[in-house]
This record gives sequence, C-alpha cells and structure tokens, in this order.
Amino acid sequence: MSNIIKAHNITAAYGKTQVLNGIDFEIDEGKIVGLIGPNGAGKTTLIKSILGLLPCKGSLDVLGLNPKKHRTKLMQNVSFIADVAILPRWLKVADAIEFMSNTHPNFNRDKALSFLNKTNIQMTQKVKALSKGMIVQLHLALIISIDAKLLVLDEPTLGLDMVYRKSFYDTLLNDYFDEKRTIIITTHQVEEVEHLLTDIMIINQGKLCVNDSMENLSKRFIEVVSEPKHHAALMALSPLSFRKTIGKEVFLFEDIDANTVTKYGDIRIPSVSDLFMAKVTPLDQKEARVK
Amino acid sequence: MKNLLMLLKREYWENKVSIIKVPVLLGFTLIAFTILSMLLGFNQLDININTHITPHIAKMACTTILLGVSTVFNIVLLIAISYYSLSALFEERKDRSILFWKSLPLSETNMVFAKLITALVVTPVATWVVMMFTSIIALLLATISLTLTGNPTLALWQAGTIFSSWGHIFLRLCLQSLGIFPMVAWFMLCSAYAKRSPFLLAIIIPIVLVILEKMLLPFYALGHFVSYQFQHLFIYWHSELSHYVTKAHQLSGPGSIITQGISIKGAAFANFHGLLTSPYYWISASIGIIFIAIAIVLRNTRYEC
Repeated sequence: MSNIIKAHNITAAYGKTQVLNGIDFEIDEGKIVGLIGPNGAGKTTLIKSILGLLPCKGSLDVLGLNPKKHRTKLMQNVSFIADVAILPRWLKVADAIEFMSNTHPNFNRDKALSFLNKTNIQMTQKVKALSKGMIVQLHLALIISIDAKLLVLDEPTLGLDMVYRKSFYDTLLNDYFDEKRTIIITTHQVEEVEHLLTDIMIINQGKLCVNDSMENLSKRFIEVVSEPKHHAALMALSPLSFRKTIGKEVFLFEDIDANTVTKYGDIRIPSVSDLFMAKVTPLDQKEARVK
Repeated sequence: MKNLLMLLKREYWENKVSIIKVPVLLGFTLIAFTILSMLLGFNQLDININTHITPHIAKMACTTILLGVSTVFNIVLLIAISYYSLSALFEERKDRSILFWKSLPLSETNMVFAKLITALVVTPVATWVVMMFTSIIALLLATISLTLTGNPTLALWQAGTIFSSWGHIFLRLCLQSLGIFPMVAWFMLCSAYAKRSPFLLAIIIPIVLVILEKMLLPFYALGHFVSYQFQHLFIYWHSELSHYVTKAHQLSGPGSIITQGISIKGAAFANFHGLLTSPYYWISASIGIIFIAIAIVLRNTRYEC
C-alpha cells in the first residue's frame, strides 16, 4: 500500500493568525478519510494546502509532487469539490462535458453521460437553471468520471436535503470508490459519513488531535453508560468527557482497559460525533462552562 | 494548444453577449434606424448628392458608408473590450467558480492568455465580421435609395472598394489591439487584484498617481504616459473618419479619390510602422507584459474564496 499524501510539520498562517500548527500525517491508497473539526479549526486550510491552492511551510508530498509547485500536473490525478456553489452559472451541461473531455486527460465522457442519464438533468440546461441538488449531481457526474487517484470533498453536500445527501454518498461509494482510490471528506454532518470512513482525522486549533483508523478508534475509545451514583468513581478515572442522558450519565474514555470500568455500567463504542465533541471540548472546558 | 483553444471556446460561452450579441444587436439597430429614416424621408441630403452621382463619387460614398458603420461598431467594441477585461479575472473569483477551474489540470498562464486573446483578437474579429454583414445591408439600403432617384443600381457596388475597405478596417483593428494592449493588461491586472470594484481601481489609481505627480514632481512623465495610452482608443479612427467626411463634402476629382485610397492604405501601414518603431510604445507594451505577468502570479498565489 503506497502513501498518497505525506505531510510533515505543516504550518500555515493568514497574516499573523496561525491556522495550522505543525501537522504530521500520512494517508495511504484506498482509504476514505474523514477530516472533521469545528469552524476555524484549519480543515479548509489543510485541504487547500493539499490541493496546492495555499502556500504552507513544512514538507508536503501529494502523489509524489509538491502541490504548490506542480498544481497543474497534480490536478490530472486529483479532483475536488469545494462546495455546491462553484460550478459557473452560465455553463451549459453539454459544454461542461465537452470542456472536460477536451482538457482533462483522465476524463471519461461516456461515464459522465451514463451518470447524467440517470438524473433529470438535460444536456441543454445551464447550471443557473438547475436546482441545488441537480448542480451537485452534475458536479458529481463530472468528478466521478475522472480517473483520479485522490478525491477531495470539502463540505460537498452543504445545503442539500437528506435525499440528495444520501444519493451523493451512495454514488460515491458504489460508482466511484475502489481500493486504488483515496477520498478525503470534510463535513459537519459526521453521522452521515461515519459508516463510509476507513480513517478519521480530527483537527482542532490547527493541530491534529485524532488521526487513526476507524478500527483502532473502536479499540482506543470506549463509552460507559452508568448510573449517576458512579459519577465520582468514573470521574476519578479521568474521562475525556461526560454527558447526561435521561436518568444516565455517559463517560468517554481514551486508552483505558475496559475491565476497569465494566462494573460501573454498559460499555459501548462512541460515535464519531461524540468522539469529536469530546476532543474539541475537553472536560475541564465543559465544567468551566457549566460553572 | 488544445487546452488554449478550449479555453478560448470557454470564454466565448461565457461572454457571448459582449463578443457576438452586442455587435449583432448594434447591427440590427443601425439597419432599423436607416430603414426608418428612409421611410420618413430623412435622407434628403443623400438624394441631393445621389442626383449628381459619378463613379468616383460612388466610390467615395461606398467607402464613407463602410467606414461610418465601422466607426460606430468600433466605439461599442472598445466599450465591450474594456468591460470584458475589467471583469474577466474578477467575476469568477466573485462567484467562486474559480474553484471549479482550479480543480482542472489547466495552467493559470493559459487561462490568462485565453482571456487576453479574447479581448484583443476574438472580440475585434467577431465585431469585424458582424460589421461586414451590416455594411452590406447598409449598402443595399443605399442602393435602393439611389435606384429610386434614377441612378445606376450597381453604382455603389465597387468590389475593389468594398474589399479594400474591409481589409483596411481589419488592419486598423489590428493596430488598435496592439495600441490598447497596455491598457487592457492594466484592466486585467485590476480584475485579478480587486476585491470589490476593478473599474474603480483601474480609474482611481492612475488619476491619483497623475495628480500626485503633478503636485509633487517637477516633470509630468506619468501624465503624458497615461494620456498616450488613451490616444490609441480613438486616434486612428477619428483622424480617418474626419478625413473622409471632409473629402466627401469636397467631392474632389477622379485622381484624388484613387490617390486617397492608396494614401489611406499607406497610412495604415505607416501607422503600424510608426507604432512598432516607437520606443514609447515598446515601453508601454513592456509595462503591459509586466501587468499580465503580475496577473498570472496573482492567479497562482491568491486564494480568497
């Protein structure tokens, strides 16, 4: 399995504001990586750096290329969707296909047409005449028809209803993804992509606080659902977070032996969104907020 | 090369209005006004001239019609080029579609060149083609007018005059594109740099600099430099049109018309020679090249979406 991305000590700043603070990570071929973090955490800056759209310091290698220096060459094997609003409104569907066919060496025209035939999009329509959901379908048709090694999706389903969101990810998984491709997804709707991901990276204040496979996460993190009477005992074990549900308390622990907490309640694997909340809002901050 | 051609096609798709629809609409408007004036009898002057028409006067009338039509087209063309070059690198940043173009394996250099070629070659050539069609219809209408006043029907249809005038107008357009290149480059740089209004940026910066120069420095080099750029907007057309109008009124003898045809064509080449051998122009063009280079660097390094 080869590295698609190798990043070492990546830093980036907007003026005096430091956005990325020494990030290290590697992403292998055939992975679907969820990059999640709160607003302003540095997700989009990291994505832009990977795509060569922003300068960054440190060592960054994408498909063996320096993205900033070789962006044009890199884009032959990388495709991305920034968000739903970026297809030019004046562009006609047929012209978009013609343009891609003639400028992208890895674009498969037949695949795009075949995908579009399954939708209500007409070849003579302009982007401005399409609904938000149809624009995403068109963009997806263009993107999945590129035989790219890396696909980067930055909030690709922003503003879409649930039907289109589900259809988007189904298409991605069924018609596009295989073991030779790698996908990076950033989204705030973590629960919708959780089942797709092979790896997860949680970024907060410009630093990666989690970077692991989903398989390892289920070993490293556990949740204990217990009665309030065990509150003090579980707090003594330094959980990452705790929250109250109806009549119960849920404690999230990192790198703890499950046997030490089994006696206090039911053990389960936390959802990515709970893990995310625990990582970006540490317990001491939560307590300070409550006080 | 294939990418550049596709990018030019893309510019055409995006800017059909300024490239083709505006000149076509202008052509229709000119023809509609001509027909209306004929119907309402406002062409009395033409009829007076036409009653004395000779082959030489017909040649002169033919050239005047062609040049008159082309002058109106050229004014609109200059507005279209200015509008296009001010918005070419701005609009896609404003609507964020730049992200789509940046997701493709296309170099920013090619994208900027495609826009420059659209402004200085594609748009003028499209206008020239529409202008030719319009001038044919204008000649047809003039022919009807002549025929009704008892003159020979084909008097105006001097093939040599028509083709040489079209060729001559084409040369003028080439000369104009060379002349306005520094200004278009400046507009494109403003378009690549501006956060809100490229138009204001393009106007305000030269005005402020010229005023500051006038107030603070003992010489007026920048002011002359800026006014030199604007000369290219009208100088070739204005001098030529006034020349023809004067001649048309004089209705001079047969020899002078032939001489004049040669001298005007000669003047076009002389202007080319004059422009291309002028150090002032090459300084301007070099600055234009620097503007374009900065615009390409900005496209590569700025990301504000």
